[in-house]
Amino acid sequence: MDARTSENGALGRVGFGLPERWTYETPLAEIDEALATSGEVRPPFAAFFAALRNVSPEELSRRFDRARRIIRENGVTYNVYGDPRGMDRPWQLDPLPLVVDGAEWAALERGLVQRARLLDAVLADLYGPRRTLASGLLPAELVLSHPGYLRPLCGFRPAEGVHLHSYGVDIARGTDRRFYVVDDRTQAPSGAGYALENRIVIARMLAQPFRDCRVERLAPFFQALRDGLAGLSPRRDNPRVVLLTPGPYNETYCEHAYLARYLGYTLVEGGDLTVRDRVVYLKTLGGLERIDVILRRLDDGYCDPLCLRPDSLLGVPGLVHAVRAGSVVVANALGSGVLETPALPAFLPRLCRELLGEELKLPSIRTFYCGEPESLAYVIEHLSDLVIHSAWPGPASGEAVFGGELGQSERAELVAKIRHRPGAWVARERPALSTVPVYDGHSLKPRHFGLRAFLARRGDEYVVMPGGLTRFASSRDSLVVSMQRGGGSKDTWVLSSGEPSSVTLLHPPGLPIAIVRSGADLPSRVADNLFWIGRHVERADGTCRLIRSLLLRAAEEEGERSPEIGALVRALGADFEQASGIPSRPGAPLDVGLASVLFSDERHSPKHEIALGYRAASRVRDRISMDTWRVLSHLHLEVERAARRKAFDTSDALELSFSLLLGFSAFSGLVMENMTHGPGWRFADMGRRIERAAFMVRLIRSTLLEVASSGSLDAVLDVADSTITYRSRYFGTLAPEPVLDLLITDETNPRSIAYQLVALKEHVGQLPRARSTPLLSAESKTIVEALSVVRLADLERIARADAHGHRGELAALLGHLERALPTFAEQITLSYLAHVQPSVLVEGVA
Amino acid sequence: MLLSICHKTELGYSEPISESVMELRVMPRNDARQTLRSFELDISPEAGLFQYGDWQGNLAHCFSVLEPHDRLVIVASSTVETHTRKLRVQDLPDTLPLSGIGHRLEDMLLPHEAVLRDPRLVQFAEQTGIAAERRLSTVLGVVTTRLGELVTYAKGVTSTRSSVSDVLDRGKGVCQDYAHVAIALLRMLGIPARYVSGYLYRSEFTELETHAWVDAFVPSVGWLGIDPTHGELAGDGHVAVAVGRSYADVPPNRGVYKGTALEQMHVSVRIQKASEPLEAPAPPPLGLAARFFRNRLQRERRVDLRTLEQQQQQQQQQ
Repeated sequence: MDARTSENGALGRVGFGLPERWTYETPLAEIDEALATSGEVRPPFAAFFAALRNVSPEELSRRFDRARRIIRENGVTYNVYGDPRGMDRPWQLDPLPLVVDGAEWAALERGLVQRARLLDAVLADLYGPRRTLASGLLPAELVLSHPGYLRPLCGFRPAEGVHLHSYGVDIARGTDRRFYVVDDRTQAPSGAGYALENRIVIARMLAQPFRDCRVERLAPFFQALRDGLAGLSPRRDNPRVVLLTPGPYNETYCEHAYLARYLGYTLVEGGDLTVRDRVVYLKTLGGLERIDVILRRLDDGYCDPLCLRPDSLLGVPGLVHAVRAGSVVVANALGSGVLETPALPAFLPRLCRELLGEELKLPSIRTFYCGEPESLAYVIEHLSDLVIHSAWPGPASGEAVFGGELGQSERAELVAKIRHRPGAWVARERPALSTVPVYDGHSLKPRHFGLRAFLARRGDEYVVMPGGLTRFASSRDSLVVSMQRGGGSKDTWVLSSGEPSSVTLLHPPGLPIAIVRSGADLPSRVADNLFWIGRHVERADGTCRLIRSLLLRAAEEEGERSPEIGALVRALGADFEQASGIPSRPGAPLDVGLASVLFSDERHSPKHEIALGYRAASRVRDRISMDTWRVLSHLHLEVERAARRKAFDTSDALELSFSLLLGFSAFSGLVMENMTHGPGWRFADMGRRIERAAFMVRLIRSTLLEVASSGSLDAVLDVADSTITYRSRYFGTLAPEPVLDLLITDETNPRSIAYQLVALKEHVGQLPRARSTPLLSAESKTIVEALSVVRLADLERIARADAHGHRGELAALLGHLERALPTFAEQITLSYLAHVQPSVLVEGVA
Repeated sequence: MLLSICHKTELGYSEPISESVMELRVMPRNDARQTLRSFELDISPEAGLFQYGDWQGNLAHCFSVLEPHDRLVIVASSTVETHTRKLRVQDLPDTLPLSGIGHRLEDMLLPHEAVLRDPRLVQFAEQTGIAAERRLSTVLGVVTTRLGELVTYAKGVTSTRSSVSDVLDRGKGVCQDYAHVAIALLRMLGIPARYVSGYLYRSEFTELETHAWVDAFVPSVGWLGIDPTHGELAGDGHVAVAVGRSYADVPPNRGVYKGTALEQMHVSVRIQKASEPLEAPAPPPLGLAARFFRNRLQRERRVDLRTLEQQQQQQQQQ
């Protein structure tokens, strides 16, 4: 095929109003989704570009920048292992969707539904009568040696006999323009949540074109998924469904959190669940709550360390027993991963004929299972044209090998390995992939792509998501479509066939709104994280406040350092005194040391605390509002970015501290105003109150304990944000007694110690108690006692200094609080959060 | 022979643990070769038990102790009558390759966990002549009696996780390792073979213990027990508890608990002819008519958080 020049390949040519620089580099495959070989724009893309006509390129760029910012701030991430950016790399999204014609999609849909029915039937047979093995429709070795063929589930018929509730299919388009299947995801397909996020971002960014193109909506698919799962519950009324995630280190954790929130399910980790008498319960602050349906994102084998993989730290011991007892339904059914083998397509046409009595509608990539002698001979002969895979997933399976890229000795080695155990190997043809235009910020580039389609089971039918997750390769020549390898993703638009009625049908009236209950059903793990978010953010806030005051004062001071500054530096804590080098170098510029404190990696530095708070928040994404998350994420980005800057002067540091403090206020405001005041909020607030009280104790100890440093009254009021109140009450006259009243005993000042203690007492009184007893709990006692000590304090006496200028009564009061606060935090942890502990496996000996 | 068995497992923890869940395979099988006369299972602290048949037809028991505890004692007591089969290996008419093996035995022909294919076994089969042997009896004879050429009996060298290749590397092992090597050899030669865990009583032995041997599938008689550790057919001193593809299918106990405590496990087995009165299961003095075997194990396990993170990552890579 002739290479087309960028001139006649330019999309500007078709008149949707993009200027010359919007060109499409020559597509390299024989086939492109947007351009036909003739150079014409294919109909679905033509419709799209026509709808885009009123969006100028500048406008598109502007909107795209905004969209990317939303993605970053929403924290749509995808964990990439071994990436320098590590966890939470922002999700890469292309502004242009993949556009698919409605009629073409309808045909694909029929093929997908048939395939889902077929795979479900195969699963029912493998875990039931095993006729497919007896008759040789599937090779015994392929199934029996598959680590996902879970023997403890053999002979068990799941609810309604359905194994496959949620199914993901990786599809590609070949040179003959036919769709074909590359991979089947049958145990816990991921990506549907990302597809939804992509849709939300792009539909907002291209609102008008989206409406004009009459794109099929995704919501009905998720509705079907929800209905389907609810229908499985062994208890019909008010079924409790949870989404089981491996945890925040999983690459798609962000999606789990997003989906859980969207579907209105509680996001749980294995440790949140417990099995008692073959019933699964969620451990909450209020006690155990029965679970009816588990939508799992855990691989089969990891779901139960007792009955399945004994080395799993992620599962729920005894889950298999509960499943077999029928008290809980796991979707997809445990064991459905057995179909995740690259060898499967080789057997589907016959299976389809035998099990469904139909011809297979949707072809698959050409596959050869080496366990069959004829295939083995073919594979060895044509090795260089094939891609070799292990027949089974697992750590030992390794990467796919492109036969054509092997040297002489590597080839011989591979052949020997295949011959040693042919049944462990599969070969497939190299995929032929079509390309799609991708916008790189300057022009459109052709990239190979794959589409993951999703199906959900509702009752007797499979519902296909109209659209899906389109992923494209990172470079021009790459055939590897993987987010792990740095590719990107696109929204997928299926153009409605045009009848307006279909749109209304897709939006059934009375779409139920997910009601998220909050209260005692809060998983203890979540409470633990919320508690720590509160603590970390408040610690960062306190330090930032101190640094801002210091910077302001340092800027005014020349030469000699006042005792007041020395006292405030002490309040930063011993870690920082050293880190910033302030006391050891009296002549050194104070501001340089202070700026470094902001980003030091020491414990308690704002950077460190923000990072920990952010991390804790990322573990409970489903419990935090989008705005709150955005604020935290912004704080995190800002301090990380500033830390990377080389030159940093006082005004930069001041600006940063102002900006961070604003962020903390936004966070506090959101927590106070936007979070339901249930137990979750109480834990977050308790964390804050404990740290704020601790900070005030430290501040007062370092500034007001010795009369010699009483010049710092002003500074203390400033740090404690109480200057205005003080002035309005006492006008300019600074005296220790009223200052101490305002900072310690005044229960109306939100920064006073008494205020924190009152709040803590209130929280403790409102928390659910597992065992109701008329006696005060240990944590109540601690806090009541601390509050009485503060309330009974005689201001005149605590302000009084001895002959050496030392305030002994004040020291005693502060000492009491310094003991009480950590004790309280520990007691809360013991009473409510103690079971957040890892599991240990033990196995007997022969 | 009528045998009484008392199998006691004691678990101690350095600090209280909670939510301990356990699965046990300690009830002797009931089949053509042995009849289970009585069985009793005592758990302390008291726990609700439920039992179920696993996919291999073994009976498993499961229980959980939710409240904090620092000690767990499991005592399984049974009486079993073993039946001797008048059978001489050299009389077996079966020839290789075996015919009439249904797909249901396919599991017992495939590698599983510790039972790996290893080139050294191919070599062994060639050296001993069984690679080309047609008579099943000869093959069984060699596998039963000559594994000593590959493995010397030694304790404390291998663990429950050692694979056939590990065992061949070290050249040392215990009954479990002999069983795994024998199974790998038999499967390699197309003879279905399965792992048997159980007990062994022999009056001339000074030590009795939990034991492991092999069932080989012989079309003319069905499953035939061979004991490669002792170089003989399984006889009326062999009491089978559970069968599986390899050890990993049938550990006597497997469990999970919450906490960071260290664990100590202590297992003791007493087995005697049932005509003799059986002592109470409390720590038995050594040197009685009843043979007593102690197997002391001290293990330390700490949860490795890195493993946790890795497992979270391993799920469903796209």
